[in-house]
Amino acid sequence: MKTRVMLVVLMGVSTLGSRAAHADEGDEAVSSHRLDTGEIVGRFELGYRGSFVSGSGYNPFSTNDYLPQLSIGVTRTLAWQGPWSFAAGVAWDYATTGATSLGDTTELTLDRLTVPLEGRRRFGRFGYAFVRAAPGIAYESVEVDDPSVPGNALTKSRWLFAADLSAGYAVPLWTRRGSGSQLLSHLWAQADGGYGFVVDQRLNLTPNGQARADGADLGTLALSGGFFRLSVAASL
Amino acid sequence: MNRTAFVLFSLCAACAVSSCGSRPAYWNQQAPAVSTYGLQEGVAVLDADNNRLVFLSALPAQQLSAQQLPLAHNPVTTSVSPDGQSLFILASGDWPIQTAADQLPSLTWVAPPPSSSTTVPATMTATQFWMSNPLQNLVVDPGEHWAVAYAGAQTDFVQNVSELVLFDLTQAPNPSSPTAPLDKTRSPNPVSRTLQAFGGIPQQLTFTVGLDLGGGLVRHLLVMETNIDVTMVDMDDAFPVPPATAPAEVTVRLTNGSDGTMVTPAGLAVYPGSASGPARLAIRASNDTNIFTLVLGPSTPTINLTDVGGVPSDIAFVMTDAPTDGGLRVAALVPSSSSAVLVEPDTSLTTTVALDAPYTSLSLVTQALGTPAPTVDVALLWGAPSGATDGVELWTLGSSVGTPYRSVQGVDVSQSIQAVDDVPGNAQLKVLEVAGGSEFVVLNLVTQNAAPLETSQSASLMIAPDGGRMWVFTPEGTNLASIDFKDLNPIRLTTDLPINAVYDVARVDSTAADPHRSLIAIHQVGTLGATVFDALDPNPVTSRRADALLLEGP
Repeated sequence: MKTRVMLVVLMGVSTLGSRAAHADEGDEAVSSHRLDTGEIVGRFELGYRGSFVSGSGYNPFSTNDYLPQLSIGVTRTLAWQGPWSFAAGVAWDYATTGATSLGDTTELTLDRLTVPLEGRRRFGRFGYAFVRAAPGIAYESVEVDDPSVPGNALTKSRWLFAADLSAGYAVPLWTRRGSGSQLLSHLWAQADGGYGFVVDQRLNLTPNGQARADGADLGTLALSGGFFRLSVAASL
Repeated sequence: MNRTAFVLFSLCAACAVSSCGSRPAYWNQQAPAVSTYGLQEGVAVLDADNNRLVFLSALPAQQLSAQQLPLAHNPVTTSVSPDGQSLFILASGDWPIQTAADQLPSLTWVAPPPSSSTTVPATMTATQFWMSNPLQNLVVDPGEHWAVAYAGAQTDFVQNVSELVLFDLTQAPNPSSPTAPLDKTRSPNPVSRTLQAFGGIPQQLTFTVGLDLGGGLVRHLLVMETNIDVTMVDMDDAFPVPPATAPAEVTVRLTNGSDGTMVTPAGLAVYPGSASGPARLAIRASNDTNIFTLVLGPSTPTINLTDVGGVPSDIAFVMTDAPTDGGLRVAALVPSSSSAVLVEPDTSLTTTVALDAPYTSLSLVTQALGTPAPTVDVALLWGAPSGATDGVELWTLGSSVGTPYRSVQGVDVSQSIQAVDDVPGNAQLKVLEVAGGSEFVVLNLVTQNAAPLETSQSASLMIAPDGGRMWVFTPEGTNLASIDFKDLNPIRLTTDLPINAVYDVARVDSTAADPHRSLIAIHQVGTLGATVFDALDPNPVTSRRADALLLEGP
């Protein structure tokens, strides 16, 4: 069900991209001009990322199998050849979620820092398609507030290896006309989907600073799974 | 489709997928309400809402391990086995059955593995006996050979109140599962049996020890007291292999001796028989002043009625130094006349002994006293209302018959006693629970020394199964004390969370030569917590907390 919905989203993105192809003949010329002259093209992205988490270890922290995130990234083009280009950057995904489980208040916080490595194929004024690999690290922090626990809270935090692999399409929403030195050249709407990997974490939670107290084992938290991301981006 | 439509479509899709999938309903409930039971080697936590049993074992360094077992649906009665090693859970299942996935009523026996198992901590195993109808009451044979389930007062839509379901705990269930075929080479287990009905509703069932019926015939009986009669079932032949059938039960209808009015049994005493006399039953009634004595033999029992002058509150077979019937008598307490009555079972001759107070209960303490003449019993009398001169009295049966007034010795305990507890492995000690729960008395039967232990609040008591100490705690409070029976010196402890129950259990590394025990104080807050103390050396510094014991998923 989830996979099917994601495919629909991606197909919609592709379709709309092709229909918008005739919209703005001049954008590609400007962008090509900047690349052809060796000018560095940077991009800033702000988006919404949704991850699908099916592992039972996630159940105490959410009433569904879904983890919404804020996604921010910056990239810059490092190489190009004809319609092809390659960009790299840094990205940060942030999520916090919680639930009431067996009467306890729970919270999960995720910070994911990755290095996006992105290959792009431009289709003139229709935008461009891209494939993105993003290795990085993730900081998972969980807390369960239970009255039976000294200090009321069981916690665990840990840095873990993480990586994303996704593909998507960017559609130009607005393009500055004419060449020149203006800072902002394009605004994009883009969508991508793929698979995010995070090393599993054993949820052997412990009370903070309590040497003579046992914790609880909630199983394994596995945040790996499919995801999609909807973003707006600005090219420099 | 234009760009605006693209954006709207994407947002709608995102909203749709974000609502996909949901977690198991288990997590959405509040903290489960559980009941706990102390066994010799751990604490069983019944989480009926989630059909699971969590068994807590005590590890070294005051740590706990938890083992989860599936639990039969809708448990109605739970009973710790007489030896404290195992647990019996009678469940009504998913009754009435509506789908193929619904569970039948059952009896589950949760027990440690055979002694040959080397797993540490021991992995508890569950044996399930399937029933065709739900029943509400369970009685387990003290020898753990049999168990019986019965209906009692009606609770189901239609219920056969005369139906008993008998379990042979020494044999495997037959059939082994609800869908398995019946093994026709052996008896079904359990066996459902409808007793001859005279309209009585079962009130109490009792398994007897082996009874000498004469001629070398020893039988074990199940005695069922209804509100109008008494029925005896021969357990040794209760599990015939078809097509053989079990012998018919024997029902004795009880009427008073004057106008034939039906009387209601309220308790019985059993004499197993010996070379000098046959086995007997004595029955008292809640609405009649007669004692009914039955002489058991290979054929139909004979019955005698003896009027003791008032409704008796407790009875027991006792040995006296009387010359007739080998000294055997039925001792009956009659609170209405503040007396005890000794009944000669064959002749119905009685001897009345005046008491200082209207005692309602008696316990035989002969062995505890190490009486020089072991054929003569000593009884501890208790249960008098507050205001009595003596809360307990010792009644020496050797001097009772014929000289009744010299037979009772008062012990210096003046409070009203609501319960008398045995100390395992230490027969000369009794713990007397004073009404109100603000005082306990440790009574040494040999020295007749009564040591009162007072508490500032109403408290509950738990005696360690090894007989070494007792624990006193304030229910829903944080006060806890350990009192060693050697010196009766209280060691005051406290916990951070309110205590609901305490259990003194053997640690997994405990041996006869090197015993270790833990005290587990249960806190029913959040998802269940516990504080664990070293029971043999209780010290707050070495105690340890175990938290969120039920937080793990089912």
